[in-house]
Amino acid sequence: MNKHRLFPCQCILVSFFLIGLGFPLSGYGFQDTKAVHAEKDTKADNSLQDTAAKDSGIVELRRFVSLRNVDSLNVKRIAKYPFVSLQQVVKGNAAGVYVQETNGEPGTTEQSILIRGLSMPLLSRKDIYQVQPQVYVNGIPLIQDNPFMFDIQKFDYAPIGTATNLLATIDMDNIESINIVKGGAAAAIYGPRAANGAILITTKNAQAGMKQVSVNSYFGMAQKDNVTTTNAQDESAFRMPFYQKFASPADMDNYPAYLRDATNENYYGPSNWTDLYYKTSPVRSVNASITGGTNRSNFRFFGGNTSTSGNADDTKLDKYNASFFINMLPLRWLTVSSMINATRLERDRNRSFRDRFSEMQYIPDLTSPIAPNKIIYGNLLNEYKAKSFDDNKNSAIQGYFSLSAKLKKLDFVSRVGFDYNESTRDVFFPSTMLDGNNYVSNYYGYNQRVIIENTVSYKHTFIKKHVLNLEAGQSFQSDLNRYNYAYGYKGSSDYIRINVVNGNSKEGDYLLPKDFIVFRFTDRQKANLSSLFAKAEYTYNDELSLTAVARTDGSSNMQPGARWFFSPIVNTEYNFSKLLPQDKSAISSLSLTASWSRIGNLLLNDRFAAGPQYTVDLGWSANPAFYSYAGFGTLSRPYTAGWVGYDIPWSYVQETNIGVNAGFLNDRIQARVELYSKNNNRMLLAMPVVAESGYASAYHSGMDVNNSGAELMLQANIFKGKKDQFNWTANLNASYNQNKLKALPGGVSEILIGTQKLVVGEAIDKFWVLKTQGEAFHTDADVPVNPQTYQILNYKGLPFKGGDPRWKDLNGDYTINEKDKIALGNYMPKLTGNFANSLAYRKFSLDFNLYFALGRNILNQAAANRFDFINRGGQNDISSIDEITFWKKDLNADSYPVYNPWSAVQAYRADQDIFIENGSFLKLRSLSLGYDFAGLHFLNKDKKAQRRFLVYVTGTNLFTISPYTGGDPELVGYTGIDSGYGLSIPRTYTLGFKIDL
Amino acid sequence: MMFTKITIPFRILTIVMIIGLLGSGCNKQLDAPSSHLVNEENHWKSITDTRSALLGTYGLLRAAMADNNGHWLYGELRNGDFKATSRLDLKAIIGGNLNAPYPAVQSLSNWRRFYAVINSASIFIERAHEVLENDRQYTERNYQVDIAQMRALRAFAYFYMTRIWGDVPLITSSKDGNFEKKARSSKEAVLGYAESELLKAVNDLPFRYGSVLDPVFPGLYYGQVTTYWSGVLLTKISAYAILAHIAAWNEKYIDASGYANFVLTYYQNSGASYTLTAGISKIDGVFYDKNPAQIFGVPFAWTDREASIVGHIEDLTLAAPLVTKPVPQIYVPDATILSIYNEDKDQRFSINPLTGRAVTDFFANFGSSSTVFSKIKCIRNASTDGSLGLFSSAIVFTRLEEISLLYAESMAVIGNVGPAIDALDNVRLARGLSSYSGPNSGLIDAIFKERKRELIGEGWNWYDQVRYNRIMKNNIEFNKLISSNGIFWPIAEDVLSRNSLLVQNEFWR
Repeated sequence: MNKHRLFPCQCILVSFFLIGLGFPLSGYGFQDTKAVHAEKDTKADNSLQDTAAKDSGIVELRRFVSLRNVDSLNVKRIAKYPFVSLQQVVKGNAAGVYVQETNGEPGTTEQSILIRGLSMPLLSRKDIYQVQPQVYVNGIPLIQDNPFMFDIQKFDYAPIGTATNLLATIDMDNIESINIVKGGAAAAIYGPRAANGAILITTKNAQAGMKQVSVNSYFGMAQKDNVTTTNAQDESAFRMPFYQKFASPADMDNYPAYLRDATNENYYGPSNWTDLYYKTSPVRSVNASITGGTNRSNFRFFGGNTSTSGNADDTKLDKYNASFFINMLPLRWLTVSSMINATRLERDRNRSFRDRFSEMQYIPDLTSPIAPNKIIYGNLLNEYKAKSFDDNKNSAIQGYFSLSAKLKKLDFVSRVGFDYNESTRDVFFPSTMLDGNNYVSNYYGYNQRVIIENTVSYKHTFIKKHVLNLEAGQSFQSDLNRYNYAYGYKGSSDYIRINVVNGNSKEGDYLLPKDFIVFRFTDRQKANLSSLFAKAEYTYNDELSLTAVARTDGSSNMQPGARWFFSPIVNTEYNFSKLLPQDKSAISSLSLTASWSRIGNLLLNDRFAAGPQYTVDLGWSANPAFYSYAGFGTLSRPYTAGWVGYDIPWSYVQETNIGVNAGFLNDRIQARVELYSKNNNRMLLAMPVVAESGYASAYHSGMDVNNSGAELMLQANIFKGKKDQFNWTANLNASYNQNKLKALPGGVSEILIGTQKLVVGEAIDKFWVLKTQGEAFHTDADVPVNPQTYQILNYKGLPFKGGDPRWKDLNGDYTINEKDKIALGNYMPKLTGNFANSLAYRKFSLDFNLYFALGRNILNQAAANRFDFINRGGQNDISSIDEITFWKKDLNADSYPVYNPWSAVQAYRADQDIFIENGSFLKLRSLSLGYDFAGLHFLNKDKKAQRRFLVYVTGTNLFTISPYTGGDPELVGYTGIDSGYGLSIPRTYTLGFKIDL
Repeated sequence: MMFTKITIPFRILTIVMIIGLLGSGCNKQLDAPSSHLVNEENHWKSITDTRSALLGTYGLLRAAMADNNGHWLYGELRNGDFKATSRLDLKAIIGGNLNAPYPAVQSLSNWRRFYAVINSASIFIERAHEVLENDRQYTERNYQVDIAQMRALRAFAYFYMTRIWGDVPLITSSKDGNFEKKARSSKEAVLGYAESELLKAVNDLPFRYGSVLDPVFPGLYYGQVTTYWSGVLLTKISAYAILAHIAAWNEKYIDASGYANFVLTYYQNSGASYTLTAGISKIDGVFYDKNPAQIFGVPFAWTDREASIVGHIEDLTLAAPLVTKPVPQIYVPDATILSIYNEDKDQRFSINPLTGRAVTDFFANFGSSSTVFSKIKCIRNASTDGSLGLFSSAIVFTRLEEISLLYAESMAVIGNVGPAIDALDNVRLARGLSSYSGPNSGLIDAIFKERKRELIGEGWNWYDQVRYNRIMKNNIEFNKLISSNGIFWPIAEDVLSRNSLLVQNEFWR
């Protein structure tokens, strides 16, 4: 008997939180218990394989996943790079997946993944949350932040709380495989959660065998940016021509004080703020794992720490991971398994004025920007360092307990899984930082998900060639999102940095703040999802397979009358291999797939289930979350949020998919082409209604959006040598996507929401802008006059004057307004992809990735803001903040027309064609060079089987080619607007090792 | 084998677990009532529902008047005494360019928020009887008082809108959930409706809420006493004050004088009082918090923790040394101040002949290049520390001095000179001025001049200009503005695009 074997009684106790041997659970992404194959670092990307990367493990997803439309990432390769979030890991590594990294701040929540295009127009800040795929870790669907906190926010640049990316919890060295589920047929088994696709993460698991120890580490640096700084002299030189040409004497008098006085050393002196702002900063990571046990009980422990610094503004993310797995097979027919996976994230955020003031919901006087001088800026940073704090901490824990029983041909799997994450943010800013007020805020929020799943499956082979798999399952998921938030102003002292409340329950002001002027908010939202599904899979002779899934899902966020949604999914595959000639030197393999699916789409908001409703609606634009009138809570119809009626059906995704897989030259070249047409139907849209109803909008179902596209994956072994000879594998993935609005609620053909126009038949990601037609009007007399009515050409009723732009009057009514906007450019790229190359010679390996996004536009709002200095300076609102980064050269002013910046038509408004630019780019995103010392005798004197001793160097974000004139073309908001606020994605170099003993 | 010994109990345990888990996904679990809202089923059941709905309607009015500091941007700025420092949108409004495409100006030309008040009031009027049937705590009398308030509030919203836009669609029922298009009704019809609704309401409205002395509704109101409700809810006095303004705006000065006279006669029943000069500009004076001297207003009471930044004249006018902000958004130039307050011994503003210096609490830093309008300065809990600009002043629609001057105006217009001068002097004497001694022909000028002195910064300037010019008809340009409806705001493009039956004011086409 093996010494690792436990006694039965212990077995029962321990089994409640330990893991069973993987084989019956492989459908949840478990790896088999077979020993990991010796890996080959140089082996090419395996995305052409149907199942998970063979290269990186032996994950079998056969139980739950249709084999097509699942892309596997080359985890081994990616794990070498210092990526901190799942979004960064996924970026460029799978066809049809578009990642927006709008900000390089480490660990920020402002990143998005879109699978197969944009399924709805992004009209509000919350919408990006609605289109994200579901991420699973070992079969547990991770719960994310609910965007309901935006309801109480005056400014929505970042959500209140830590704004930390909950998908930054993963550590790549703990990951066995990452699979991307695209298309409805593949997602069938996951149901509405995966309506936007799914990402399946499988961690490395416990394994039987000798104790295996792995140690991985890297360290390196994020290189600082080189920017050309400016001072008041440059700014004055930029503004003066406008003043000379257009300013009235009164305007001249209002020339900003900080620019007026050329003797002011602070503004006109050295501009050396970059010394304090940009820093070459360290990145490092270390982790270790131990795996071992018998084939009836085994374990794995993983622990790691990663610290990633940005190169600007002292931003940083610290991550601590610990995972624990134990598998038990107490009985031959029963497996018990469990996992605990815990992460802690601590984030140092940026120190921009905008983010600080939006957190404080208070804007001081902004007449003069901060001086570009190191001493002045240093003083501000000292306030941050010495007197304030901004602690952002997230903790996440996932786990499950699972039982699986195998009784003859029946398999039962029963599982309870949970995901819980909480975040706390504690902020204090001293009175010296804001007009003599100090500020305190505390946020505590958590998201909690419990999921109970049961499946039963049955496999039957009729005659040798006919195999039938039947499966049925049920799941129930319960979500809770909650937060408490309080902020306060004006504490009596900068030494009291917490919001103290009266703790005496007998006093009248029990729990009321003692010191600060405090505003408190709390919110919670529950959502439940119940699902039943049945699946039949028939295989004939390994040539033909037919799969049908029927499922029904009930969501608590739907109205009682329309709570359940039935989805059918069919999928077929035909493998031509047997029909191909024996000689594989030309065509070596060929198969076809086709599928059709319909899956319900979940709502993130709980307000639609109630139908007509009453709510608190006391706010106005500057104060959206006012909560009482005369001290009482109130109720009224949701005039601001929008009318909700009855009869809101499920919206759903209907997708048709055709694919071809082919191998040529003995599979040295493999290709896969996928064509899809994805329709998101019956979506809810806040439709404009007559203002005389009092409502801002009314929600109606019936918006249909189509995304169609093609995906190509091509892999070629260009040089295929034997072991230790030269090998070169190239791998290209490219995907083309286009979207189109197919219908609007009520058969409307066109609507205008704010400045965003939606037109049936057009794409949903268009920029709607005014078209410039030649130079500015030189004088008032140049402005055309309608010969019939003698009406002067006007902008929304305001006549144009000399110095105003010449915008095209599309409909010829001598009034320029929203109707004269043209659809120009699109913010979603038409073509995205990645070209990866792996080269190997003996123990050396080299790989690099060229990532590209083409056919995409950016609205350069940062440039528009530079020119719009009169309006912005006059407003004193959040848009008129000039950050320290204001003092850098980032604009070629000569390439823009000269307009009168005082004009009431707001000549430099961002919604015009001169600010739309081509945002295509190609990046050398990553490069690595490694040498494997394993097997070198001087390192391994006792001849123990050392499986890997890889030493490597990497570089990421090495260069960008783009016609875009602003900053990094990736650092752009979700709707393609470059506000100039994205912190740079630094060029990072690391040196690391990976040792498997 | 050790394992086989425990097979049977373990198998049972496992099956029990699996069955237990299978049964866990039942349909009932799919009810997860939202904590953000009250659905149709649970509303209009109890007395707290009427309280919530009633105050919610007031709250919507507050939001409509506070949004973008609308009360002043509509009423005070156009062609007025204030000048903007740097905000181009405010300059546009002051210059009468109300179609300038600035976000704030566009937003102000949208009347949606006022229609939210109207819709909410209509729903209350249609649905409150359900509470009467369900909750015995909700008395018939309470119901009548509530309905009367909602009628009056709806009428006020119509009056407020028609002063801004002229003709507006007249919608008198909630049409809950139906979004019908309606064309504009003439301003006369709208004002007529508002007047008739107020007249229906006045009898049921108490003089004061929560007082045992009130003849209409004695006793606590929703469990609270008078101090809680003063300056918060519409009283009988408020309703008559609004009626007086509707009549004056409609140039029915005989009616106006009657309504105003009611206010001036019975104001004490509501606890209202005239305010001493010091009480106007005191940090805890007439504008502070909620108090009975605010004949009608919407509060941002510090005592209820409802102070805010936007929604106050202070947000526009205050600057150093009163608050940290170095430059205000709007200010009154010194020359204008001197021309407005051109009489000696005016307690509001006068020049001390001995020292040559300004004696005033209405303006700070007079004589410097940065004079600050400091008549209203309610910072937080009536603090003098201006480092945190949270303001607690109410938006006061009217107070007794204002009604007194309106009464004087009405009497003067109908030729009843004696009472007109008395009412004018009532204010003049209280402010340290001598009795009016000018000729009868100059009386109307004197009354409007007094209104300017007394009511500066309270959102009256523009409407006073309109009424003055309607009476005098001696300003050709203004006459043209009146006859072409240029005195009204344009309707927002957004509003027009949502309702094809609406047409833009001809002046702004």
